[in-house]
Amino acid sequence: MSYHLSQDQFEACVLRRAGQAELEHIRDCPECRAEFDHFNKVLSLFRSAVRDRVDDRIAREASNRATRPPAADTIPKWRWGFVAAVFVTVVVIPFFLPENTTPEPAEQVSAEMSPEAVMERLNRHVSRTVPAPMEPAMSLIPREQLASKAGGFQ
Amino acid sequence: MKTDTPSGFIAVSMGNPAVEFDNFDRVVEQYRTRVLRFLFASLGDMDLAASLTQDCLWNAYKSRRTFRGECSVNTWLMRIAVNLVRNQVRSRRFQFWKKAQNINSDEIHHFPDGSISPEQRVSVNEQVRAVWEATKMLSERQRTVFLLRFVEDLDIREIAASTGLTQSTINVHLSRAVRRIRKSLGNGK
Repeated sequence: MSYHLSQDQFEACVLRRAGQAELEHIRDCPECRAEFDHFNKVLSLFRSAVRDRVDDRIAREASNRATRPPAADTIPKWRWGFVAAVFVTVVVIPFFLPENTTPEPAEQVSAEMSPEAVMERLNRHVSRTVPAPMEPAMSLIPREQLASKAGGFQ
Repeated sequence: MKTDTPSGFIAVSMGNPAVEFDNFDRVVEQYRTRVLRFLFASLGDMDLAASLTQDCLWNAYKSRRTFRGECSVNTWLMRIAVNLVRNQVRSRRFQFWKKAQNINSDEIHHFPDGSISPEQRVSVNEQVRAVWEATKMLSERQRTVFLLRFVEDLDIREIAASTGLTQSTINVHLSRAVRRIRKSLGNGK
């Protein structure tokens, strides 16, 4: 016959499910009461250890927030204004600017396509002694070295 | 109607259940510490716990419209936190245990200078360390119900709502957890 609480009875006391008999035993038996009190004390220490650690963390975060300037103050308003002005200048304004008006080529084309102009260009082309892309290079050759034969300079 | 619960929080049981989420800053202010505490006790890593606390509150904010007020906000947040712990433990089991074994109870318990003698401090630290180590040896469910009961002071009904377990299952897990903790302290037969 056991004079102390069984494991199940002890657990029932810890979990507050104990009956009247167990509670009376805890009250009357110094050994069981000491063990019960000790176990509850250890659980209480564990709980307070966890809570203290978390409270420290929360307090440290709060103090960090307090010492740090608010996010809104870290960027002055004039900088936001500057960024907005640059944005408007670079992105928005070009949309509203009139498009670059290039000179109307239609008249030039029509002038160049007149019969006199066409004949003039044709004559100039036919009278070339070297192909048109080579004409700039010909200026580098001294005039006396150029020999004129049929078909142009050689 | 508001109902005081044994754990000291207020349950909104009638009216618009989402009304408490209208001021989410207040919800964060009111419940963040509880969530962080549970996550830290479960994972043993403060930085990870802080990160998962953010996840928990963010998940709650995203799904606040689905909160029907059938339980308190605290219970609802705890349910999200329990799921986060479960996912974390399952996905990073090895890292978790590695970190859990590195916990030093000296770091988690602070005493005001001169409040207890050095001998008492050593004794208390050893006891806290023993409980801490013992919780890491519990199964995931045993640890969760143990921490919700003895760190968060939730009653069986609230633990059931937070974990989705039946009350009888919770009682079994709690009994086993208490037995193992007691054994780790050298008192279990």
